[in-house]
Amino acid sequence: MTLSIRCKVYHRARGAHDPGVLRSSADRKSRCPGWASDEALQRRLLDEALDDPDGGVDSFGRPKRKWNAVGGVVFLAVSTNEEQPHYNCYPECPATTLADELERRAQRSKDELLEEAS
Amino acid sequence: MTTGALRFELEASKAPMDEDLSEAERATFARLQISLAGTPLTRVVSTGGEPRDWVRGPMSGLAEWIVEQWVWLLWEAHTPFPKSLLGGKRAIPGLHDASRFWPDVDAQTVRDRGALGRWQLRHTLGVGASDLALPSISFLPEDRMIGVFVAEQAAALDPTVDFVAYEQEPAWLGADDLREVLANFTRDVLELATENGAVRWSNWLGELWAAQQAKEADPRERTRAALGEFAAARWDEASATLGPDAEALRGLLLDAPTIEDEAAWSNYVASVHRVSARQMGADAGLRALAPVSLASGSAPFRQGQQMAASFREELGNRDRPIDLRQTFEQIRLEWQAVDAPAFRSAVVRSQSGAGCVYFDRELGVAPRRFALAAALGRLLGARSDRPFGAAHGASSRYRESQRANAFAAELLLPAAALRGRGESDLDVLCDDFGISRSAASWQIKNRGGARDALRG
Repeated sequence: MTLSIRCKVYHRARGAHDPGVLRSSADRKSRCPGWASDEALQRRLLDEALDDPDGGVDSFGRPKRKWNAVGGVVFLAVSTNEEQPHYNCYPECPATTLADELERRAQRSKDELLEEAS
Repeated sequence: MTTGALRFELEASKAPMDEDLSEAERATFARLQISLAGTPLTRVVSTGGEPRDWVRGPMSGLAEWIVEQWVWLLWEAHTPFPKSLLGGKRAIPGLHDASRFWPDVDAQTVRDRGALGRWQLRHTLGVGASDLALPSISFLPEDRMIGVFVAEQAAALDPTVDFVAYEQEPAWLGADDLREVLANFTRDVLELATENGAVRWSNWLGELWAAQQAKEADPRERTRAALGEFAAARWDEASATLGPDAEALRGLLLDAPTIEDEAAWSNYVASVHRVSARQMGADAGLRALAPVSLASGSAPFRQGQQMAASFREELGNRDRPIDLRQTFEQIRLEWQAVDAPAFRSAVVRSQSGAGCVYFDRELGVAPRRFALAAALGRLLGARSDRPFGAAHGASSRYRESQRANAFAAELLLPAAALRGRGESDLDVLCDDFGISRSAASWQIKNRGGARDALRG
């Protein structure tokens, strides 16, 4: 089953392409940079995301947390615990044993990541 | 702020229909107010809005974090960073530090960033589990007390709200108090989820929650989290050998870096056993000292200064240089030099009343005097006759080592001795009182009256 990102509207960037519906009634810890709305990039980030060794599993037995980083931003994808394997993805602190690898990955640019894929 | 009650107040709130929420998130949508000693930590300023004392959003992720980290956040005492110094100041890393890969942590001291990341995950509220905006609140468990460190939020993540309040000094809560607050919150979130139809999620987390609570109540699991796998695997055998004095070993291990090899383990056990095996005749054990009444709400360094002043009163020496050898003999406390790369000094008191201070044989004269005095401070700070052990070094328990450092500085260079002395006397003071320049400067800085006296 294909994993997918649940990119909440309020984690998306506000900027030149802001669709204008971004005010949330929830208080969020982070927002994504504008370049993270690139669907090819999101797909690539999810495909090569690392399962958190200390992350456990969700209620369906799937990895609960996945990490990746690019362009100076660490992204966390947390399972939404739904039958379809959705992951709520947002910028987060590297609170994981994978911190060293994430620091290395964060130094890549978006273009470098996409080039690696192709 | 050194003591105070932590409160989590939850109020269900209708989830907006236009937000892309999972079933569990929608069912647990609520307002949350977190306060510490009456200060709302969730006081926020949002864009274009008035300040308010709560945050709003899904609580499911936060409840999952509490369940997942339950044993660690209540018991894991060892940290992968030195507690004594972080970026030139005493601090515990928070979200702001983590979001920048902990730039203030000395890479030579902490080589494993992964260990830092795992510590942050286990001890910082909601991190790695919830996208709800929360202040940076980290829990540092040290035996029966838990330090609550409120730090700067991770502005680099571009949160939707700014938290107004954070403290430089930690608050300290009883472990039972924190357990109750977080357990009540988790129970309330589970009930909210069930009421609002997220039954599957609620049942799943409820089962995990029951298992985690049972695990946390197990003394073996507590020992494993507090002292590490290596020590926990050998704990029963050491307990059987040392009997009640195993309590002293436990104190040493709480203050030591995590033990990971047999040689270090044997040294710690032997250091307790050596004291434990001594036969004490009548009148041969540690001399009983008049208990010092410490104000429970006062800062640890104030308590240390108060303890030292009382101790000097008892010795009949208010402001003269102190002879530590004579002082230790007076209270029948032995000392012994050891090879001790993990600590500067350590103290053990057995059930029978024997006591010994171990110190690092590599220390110079003034640092050795300070280390001996700090170990004495740890012993006096215990304020009971039970078996006791403590080590004084970079991994020592935060609050106790703050108190012991202040005790040592005041014992060696009492504020009373600074009156009428000028700043130009600093070298003479250091020579006369057997204290290093850095410790003397630290003492002067922390003693307002003393600083004024030096200026005069």
